Amino acid sequence: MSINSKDDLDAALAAGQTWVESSSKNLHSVTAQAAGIWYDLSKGAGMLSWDALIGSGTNLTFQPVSDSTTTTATTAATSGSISGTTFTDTTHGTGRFTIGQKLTGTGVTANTFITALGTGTGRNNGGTYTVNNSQTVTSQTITGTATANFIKHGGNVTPAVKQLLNASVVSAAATSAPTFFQLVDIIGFIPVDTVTLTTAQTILGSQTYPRYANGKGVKAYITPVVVMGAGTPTLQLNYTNPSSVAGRLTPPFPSLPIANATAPVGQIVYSGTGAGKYGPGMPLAAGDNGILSIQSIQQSATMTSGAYAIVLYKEIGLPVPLTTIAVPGERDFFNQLPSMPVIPDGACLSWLQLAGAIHPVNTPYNFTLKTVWKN
Amino acid sequence: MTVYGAKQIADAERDGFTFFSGWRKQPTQTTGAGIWFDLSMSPGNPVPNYYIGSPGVFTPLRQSTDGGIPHGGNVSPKTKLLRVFEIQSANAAPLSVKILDYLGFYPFLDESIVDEQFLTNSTPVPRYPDGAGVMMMPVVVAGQIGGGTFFVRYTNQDGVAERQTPQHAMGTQAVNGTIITSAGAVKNSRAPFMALQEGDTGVRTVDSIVFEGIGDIGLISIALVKVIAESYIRDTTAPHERDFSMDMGSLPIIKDDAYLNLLGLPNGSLSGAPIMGYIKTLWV
Repeated sequence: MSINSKDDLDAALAAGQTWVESSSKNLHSVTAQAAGIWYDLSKGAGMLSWDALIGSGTNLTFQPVSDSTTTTATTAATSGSISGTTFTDTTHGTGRFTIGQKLTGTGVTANTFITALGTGTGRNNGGTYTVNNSQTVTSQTITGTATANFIKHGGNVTPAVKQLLNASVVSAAATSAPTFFQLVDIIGFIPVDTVTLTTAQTILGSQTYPRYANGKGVKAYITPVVVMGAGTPTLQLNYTNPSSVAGRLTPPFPSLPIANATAPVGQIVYSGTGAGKYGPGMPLAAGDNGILSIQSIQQSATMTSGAYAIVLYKEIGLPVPLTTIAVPGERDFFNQLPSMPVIPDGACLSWLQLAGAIHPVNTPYNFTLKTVWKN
Repeated sequence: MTVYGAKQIADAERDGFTFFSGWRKQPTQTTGAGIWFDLSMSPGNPVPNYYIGSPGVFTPLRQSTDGGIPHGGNVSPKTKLLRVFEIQSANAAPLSVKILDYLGFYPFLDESIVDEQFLTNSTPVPRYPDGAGVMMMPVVVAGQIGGGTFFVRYTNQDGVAERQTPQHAMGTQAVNGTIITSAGAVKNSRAPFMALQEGDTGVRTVDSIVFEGIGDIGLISIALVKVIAESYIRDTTAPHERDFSMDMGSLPIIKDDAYLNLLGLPNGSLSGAPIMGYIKTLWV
């Protein structure tokens, strides 16, 4: 049952049916955020640590995401080793290795995580990755496990309905404003390693969303999971809309989205300044109210190198603006229309950010959100 | 007129009939305090509109061909409404802005020609063809000296031709994008839109223009625009968000393929000042 009145809200709060989650995100540690470009903050460090899930999995295969989702990647049998803080995937097995994955295997020190990419792109033979614990492991099968690591919101509450009461953001760091943040629920992604192909690449497997199964309001953005190469192709999705009409295409007017060259991990790759720049979502065909499934993606030219993910998400409420350093921006969702957006069980909450200035590397932002539900 | 109630808005939000996008402009032009400026000519996202076309020939503007602030694709037979518009800047305040649907323009009108210049209307106006509420906005596209005057003959909202504006002063602020009639404390300074003949409420077409006296050296384009909404940056430390359902009681309609952009009244130079925000539309 949902909260339908101020009395309901007061009663739920008095009964402790509420959750306050504070989190922080540092911007990317190697690349300053450029003004006018959108970023997916799940790929930043902080308290939540770097998300390892998005971009893992199998090339061109839809991976649903809930707050309990895990994926794995493995070396081929006895083809993994760690020397010092360098993990080498001598012969790749399955899945994709990503930053933030926890490594396990015979002789691997407990709580060993991938902290950076070396020559590894997730699934290349001989790829290297930096890990947090120095150790020596030779000729073992090593498995990386990615665990959903999104903003907590109070656990599952069904049959109650969880709703977002407020959210805020603040930063005291220099040049951290102006900017604004959009809360999203990430429901799945499609990893794409084959970034040099210019033919339409078919998405494999079934696509059943863990939430918003009818696709209404579901949108998609594209973000690198390995820094992209020099290519700047146009990008076009072929998808089915919530009315089950297939063959819907990202509209080419006035321009198809155009990828940025050498886009860093977490950047929404077609956002920015100039023709073909949009954000945060990929434009949908006229009148469409969401994406039920994606059938293919096509680049007009090679991206040269890198890997990206097509991320499916739903916006939660209106954005939270931040105009001034050290002055919090807050959104009260109670006094909105519609009031208090619903947060479904299993939601994977994350923030998207439109940089209003050149925000320096490692700029910290502190977020708080509060949910409430009525039993 | 249709009234769109809370349930329709909530249903549209629930069912995903919404569009959300960020935008960011960073003018390079040195604007003047109290002088209206056409932000569509400034760099950023959306890309600048340079009023390129054949001189004197009406040139339509559409989202599908020219861009503008994105508002989602065409939704007919549904009706698209402006739900939220937010604007903020760390550098430019106060700043009044108008969100306009730019219907099209008459490019490169030569101020040095003092004979009546007849304009070409072979291409229909793409939206609001009845002209009701459509305004004329004269924009500098090549700098003038200023101090002269001009007037325009047009066809009004009832289809009556040979309507004539009062005399309008040409300001001395010459940077491209300036509303030329925004001349400050000068007689016949009228801005941001040109005054119409008594009793008229809109313009279907601009038929001719007359630069009086010895003319001037610059070029202007006359844009036909429809005001969608107004907003403000009141302070650099506060975002200004207008939720048209909560704050204004009515959601402005956005026509299919509208070319949206911004007109601003700065308090000084906007050169280098990032101005950003977001837009949310829905359709019912």
